[in-house]
Amino acid sequence: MAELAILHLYPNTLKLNGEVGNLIALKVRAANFGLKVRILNVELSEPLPTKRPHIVFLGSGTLGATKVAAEDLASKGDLLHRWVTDGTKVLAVGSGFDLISQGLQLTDGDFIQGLGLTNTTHSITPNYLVGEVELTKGIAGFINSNRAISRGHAGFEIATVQASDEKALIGYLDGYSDGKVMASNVQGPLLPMNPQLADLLISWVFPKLEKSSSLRTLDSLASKARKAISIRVRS
Amino acid sequence: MLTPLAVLVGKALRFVLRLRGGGSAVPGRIALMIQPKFLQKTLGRMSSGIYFVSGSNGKSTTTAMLVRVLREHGLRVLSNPAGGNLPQGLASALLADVNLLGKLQHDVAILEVDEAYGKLIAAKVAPNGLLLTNIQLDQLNRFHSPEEVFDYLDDLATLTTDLIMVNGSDRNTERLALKHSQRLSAHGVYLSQKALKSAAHGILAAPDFSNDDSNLKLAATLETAKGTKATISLGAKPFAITLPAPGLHYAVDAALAIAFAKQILVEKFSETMAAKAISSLPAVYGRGEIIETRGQKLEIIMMKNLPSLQANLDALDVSPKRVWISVDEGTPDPSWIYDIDLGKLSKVDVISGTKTYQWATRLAYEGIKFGKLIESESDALEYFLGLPGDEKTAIVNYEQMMWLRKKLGLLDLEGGNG
Repeated sequence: MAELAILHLYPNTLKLNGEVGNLIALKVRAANFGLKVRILNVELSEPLPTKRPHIVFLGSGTLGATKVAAEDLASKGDLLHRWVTDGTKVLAVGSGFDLISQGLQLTDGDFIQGLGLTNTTHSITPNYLVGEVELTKGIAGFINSNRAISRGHAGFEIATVQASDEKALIGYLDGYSDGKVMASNVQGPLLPMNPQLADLLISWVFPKLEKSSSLRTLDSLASKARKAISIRVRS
Repeated sequence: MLTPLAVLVGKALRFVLRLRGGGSAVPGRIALMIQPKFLQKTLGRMSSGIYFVSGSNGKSTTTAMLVRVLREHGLRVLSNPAGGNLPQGLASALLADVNLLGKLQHDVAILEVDEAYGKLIAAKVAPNGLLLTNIQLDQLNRFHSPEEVFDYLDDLATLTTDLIMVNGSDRNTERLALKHSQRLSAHGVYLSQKALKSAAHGILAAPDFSNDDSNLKLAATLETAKGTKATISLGAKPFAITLPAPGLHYAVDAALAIAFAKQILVEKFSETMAAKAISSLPAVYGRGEIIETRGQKLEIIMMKNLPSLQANLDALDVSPKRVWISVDEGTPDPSWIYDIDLGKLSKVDVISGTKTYQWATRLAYEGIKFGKLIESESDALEYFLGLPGDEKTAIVNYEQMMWLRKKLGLLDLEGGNG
């Protein structure tokens, strides 16, 4: 049985709003694809494993958490870059997205250096955009973000917000996806609510997997959850 | 002359609006328009002071406990019902108690205040003391981060004149009190290691990334907590109390209320009377409350946020036999349900509310079996009460709790019977 090794970076530090649900989705779905899933947790000050994982996951945290994670990440950046070059995929949500970006501009003038795995540069704005969202590509969830994102090249966003109870979110370009890195500010959490993205990420690692029919119930429930959001934000 | 006029108009409006059913902040708003210093003129006359209770969770229970302990000692206590968190809501509540001259017949005011709005009231009537229960992950759609809650409560502490007491085992509230310890008399209630370990997930405090390991002046230690029993030490021999509902979180609330009451009462404080007061307190409005309906006992477990649901699940001895989950738009983003340890739930009988399918998806990923999915909460309630068994558990968010109590004919206002 093939193994899917997932490294969860800073599971207790970057833990704000159910981000672990993304791992749960990957774990359950990968197991249904016939993969044996192994999850390794690495916290602040702990070394990275010697064996390269298939996927690295970073969740979201408070600004304080993001700062301490960024400090720790500085010493891990070179190895993480080598891993990505060698085929490791990265999933990051919320401030985890900030950490793998070019960097995060703070309101006090400080700049948190990111890993540079995306072409996006992030900055904190005075206002949060908060609301349920329906995006293109059948994606739905919730956005609660005060980040402005500038993009080096267009076309790498995951999807665009089409409808929301927060009108200012309509037209919002979410996330980043380039076949190596998947990043998003959509919660729900992202992957349980949008299993097509979980399957896409797994397919980046194992391209020829057959989808199991045992996932139909899960997919149907998630689809109905997204449909409920769609109805709400369009009403 | 403005105060009597504000009282007269406010009381008349209040009478008319209550005839139409329910409470309203309108009378208070009008009273404040007539007399902008209405709160100062009424609350400012308390002989034993004004005290605020705030924090992410446990405000209502701690306020109810503190009120009960002070009343047991003979103080005439004014407190505010839910909805009295804003100046106009508080003014409306006060209109029920003031005489035509704007005078209250109370010795002390114990006010539960919202983390964000508390400073609006404090700006009008500065509290003598502030009691903070905790800073936990709560309402991220509104507060975005516990760091933002820290800032709100920091503002509230800045407006406090004499005393601050906090849960010292919560690093955020401890750090906040330490920040004000030069100006205010700052005290902490700490949990023993034994008490901390009595709940599977501890006190569920928000993370803190500061490096300060200073401690506050010890006001009390929660020595033990098991079920509805707890022991508290105020420096001498620990004494036992009985809690209104099982759970470490209620034991912490009780320790905070008792220690704070001691600060208010000083030499008049009696451990025996405090223990008696807490031990005679019924479950507080939807928090571990058991409602009897149609010959069945329906326990209400609140899922206001991650810490409240986890604390309530941790407090369960065994998996509940019959479970109904109902969550609506009062919880706009339930992403946090993926952080909940659902080990105490072996199955769920029915899920309802607008978040039905988000909860069902969560349970399905966890491999927890569930029965009917009925988005209409009224239909779900009928179905649930029609299931066999006479002991049932409803896991509901705050808004569904309020709806459910009303639906079952419990029409008292939250905190109104404090």
